[in-house]
Amino acid sequence: MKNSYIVQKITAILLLCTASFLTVPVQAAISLELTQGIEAAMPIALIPFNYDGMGQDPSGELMPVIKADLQNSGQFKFIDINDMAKFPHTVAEVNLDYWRRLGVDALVIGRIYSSSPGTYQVDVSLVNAFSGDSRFATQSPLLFSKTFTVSQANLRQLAHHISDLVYENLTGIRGIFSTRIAYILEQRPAGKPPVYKLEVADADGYNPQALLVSNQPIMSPSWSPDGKQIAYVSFEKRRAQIYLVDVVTGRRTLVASYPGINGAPAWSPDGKKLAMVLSKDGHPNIYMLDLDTKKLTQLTRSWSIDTEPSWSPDGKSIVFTSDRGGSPQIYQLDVATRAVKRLTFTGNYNAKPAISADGRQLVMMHREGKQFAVAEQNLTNGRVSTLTRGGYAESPSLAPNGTMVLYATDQDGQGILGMSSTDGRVQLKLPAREGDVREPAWSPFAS
Amino acid sequence: MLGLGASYRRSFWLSLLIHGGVLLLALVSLDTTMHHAFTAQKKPQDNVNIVEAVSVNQADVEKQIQAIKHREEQKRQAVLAKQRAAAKAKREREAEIKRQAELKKQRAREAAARKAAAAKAAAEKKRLAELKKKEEARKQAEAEKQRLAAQEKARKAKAAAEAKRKAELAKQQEAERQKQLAEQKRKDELQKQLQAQLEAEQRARAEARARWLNAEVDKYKGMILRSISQRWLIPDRTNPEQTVRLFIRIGPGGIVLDVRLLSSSGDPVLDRSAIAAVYKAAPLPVPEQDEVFDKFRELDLTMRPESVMNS
Repeated sequence: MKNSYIVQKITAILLLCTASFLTVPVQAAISLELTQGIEAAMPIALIPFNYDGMGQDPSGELMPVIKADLQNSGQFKFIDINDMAKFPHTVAEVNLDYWRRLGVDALVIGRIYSSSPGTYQVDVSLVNAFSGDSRFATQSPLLFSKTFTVSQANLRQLAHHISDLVYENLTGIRGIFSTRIAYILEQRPAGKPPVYKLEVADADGYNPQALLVSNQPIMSPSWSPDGKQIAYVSFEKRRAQIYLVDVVTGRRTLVASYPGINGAPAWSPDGKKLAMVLSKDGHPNIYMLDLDTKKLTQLTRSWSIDTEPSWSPDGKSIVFTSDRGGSPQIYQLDVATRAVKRLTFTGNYNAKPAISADGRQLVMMHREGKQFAVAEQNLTNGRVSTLTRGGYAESPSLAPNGTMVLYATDQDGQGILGMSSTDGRVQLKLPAREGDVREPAWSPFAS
Repeated sequence: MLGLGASYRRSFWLSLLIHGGVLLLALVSLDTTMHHAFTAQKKPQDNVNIVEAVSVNQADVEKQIQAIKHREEQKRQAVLAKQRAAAKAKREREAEIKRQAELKKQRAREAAARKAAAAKAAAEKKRLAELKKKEEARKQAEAEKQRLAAQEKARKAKAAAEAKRKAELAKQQEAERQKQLAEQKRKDELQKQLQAQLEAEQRARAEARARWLNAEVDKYKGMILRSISQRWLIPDRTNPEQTVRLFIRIGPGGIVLDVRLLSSSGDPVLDRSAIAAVYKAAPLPVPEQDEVFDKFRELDLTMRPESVMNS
């Protein structure tokens, strides 16, 4: 009798132990709540890719681009290559403990093969250093692994694409490294009349291509939502006119040539309408042109200057600059009802508005004292924060993912472009061009 | 016997009686019979002489007969004498008897008189005696009464005294008892107080220990949270209302044995950032004492990116 009792007890205890090992005994756990973290760049490692092939190692064209992209976003900081002692190229080679101790959250690793000159096969993997205890390996640490075949000429493009993949995977936000920027370049060669160019370059300012060249001013470039066309203002006929130009073919279309001002074209999010500023009825007001029907609709009727229209992401309203209140401020127009309400109440000058894709932020040119800066206003609580520091800044243009702002600033009297992250962490300057760069416009995502 | 009817009982006793009577009768008759037989045997006692047949001489016989006649005559004479004597005796006797009777009567009368006198005297005596006795009795009673009274008094006094003494004693005892009670009470009180004090001290110690334990737990909770918070890279654009819930298993020294997602925030980037934060914070600051550390072996951590500390 007694023996069977003991046996029963032991069995029960063993079962209990097993059960508790298998289940998650949350009742016994202490509960904690954490509601604060830090906002800081994520430490990652970019391990030099292994090259196996003939000719020059192409990683010299890949790695620096990837690193610059990710670093300039302000979201990542790279550990110094000199601090690395291990150089894995595949997931299997990664010793998670080592990288954790080094203080790295993720690793970008890869290999490049070249079977024929000028063509490369690139394997790239993103590894999560904290996917689980390396001893138990609850989940695979691999976040993605892809292979690309690329020609020499497209190496840079591939690098941007890899940057996009890494960025998206680690932040959850779509990357902008494959987007482009358009801007006006004014050159004044010595002793010659000025030349105006509409240029399109990579988002990092590289590979500028002149889309248009004119000896009369070009202004206000605006990308269509599909990224295939740019609307702009041209004075080639000695008067303001609005043209559309195909980014690939260069073909142009005249869309507005009304008496007086034809300016500040802005595409609706569905690409069917173009908002613009016309003064044909006496004062600069906001109009809307249907690109299919060519029907023109007047949206604002005021005796003040209403200009710089920009559509909200849902296409239902247009924000614009108006001095109807005495000083240039930003207003919002409901397209359907034509109701207008004022948005900005801070600062003595607010202009060139644009609403972020998530509809939460209003980016604008802003002046509180004497200095213009680029600022961001939270549309929920109205709080304004300055994004640019030191120096003059104007013509802000938001990146399609809302994380960066491109603007025009000057350096030693030369007009250049600057870029700031909307969280204020990064401030960059794009490489100067020969001439003055103005009025940047950030392309949408490549569709 | 109980269950038998009254008629049965009656029959029984009757039969017993009858049998008894018969038996008794038999015995008595037997006895009488025996008695009769016995008396019958007694009577012919005189004629017991055995006659022997012998051959005799005539002369002898004549002598014998003359002897016998002589004897017979003597006998007759004797008898006559006897009869005369007897008669005389009888007359004397009778006279005697008469005399005796007279005497007797006389005596009887005297006796009676005496008796009467005696009786009278006796009665008197008796009466006196009675009186005396009464007196005596009365005296005695009186005395007795007095004695009793005295006794009573004495008794009462004694009783009173006794009572008093007893009362005194009782009072004393009571006092004593009260004193003892009081003493006991005091002792009990003291005991209670000590006990209460002891208990209070124990409670206080237990409470202090519990407070210390809680304080330690809170302290380490805070340290753990800070440690994780400082390493939690909150991704841009997260919804501050999203919540990640993690289960963390901690080993001695604060090593993180396991981190599991109990509930996802819905955003894999946020989930990953939370898990990474825990691993980065390892080894977590945990108490050294086993008693406190045991509470920290498993953590249920809810993380919500409400605020951010810029670093």
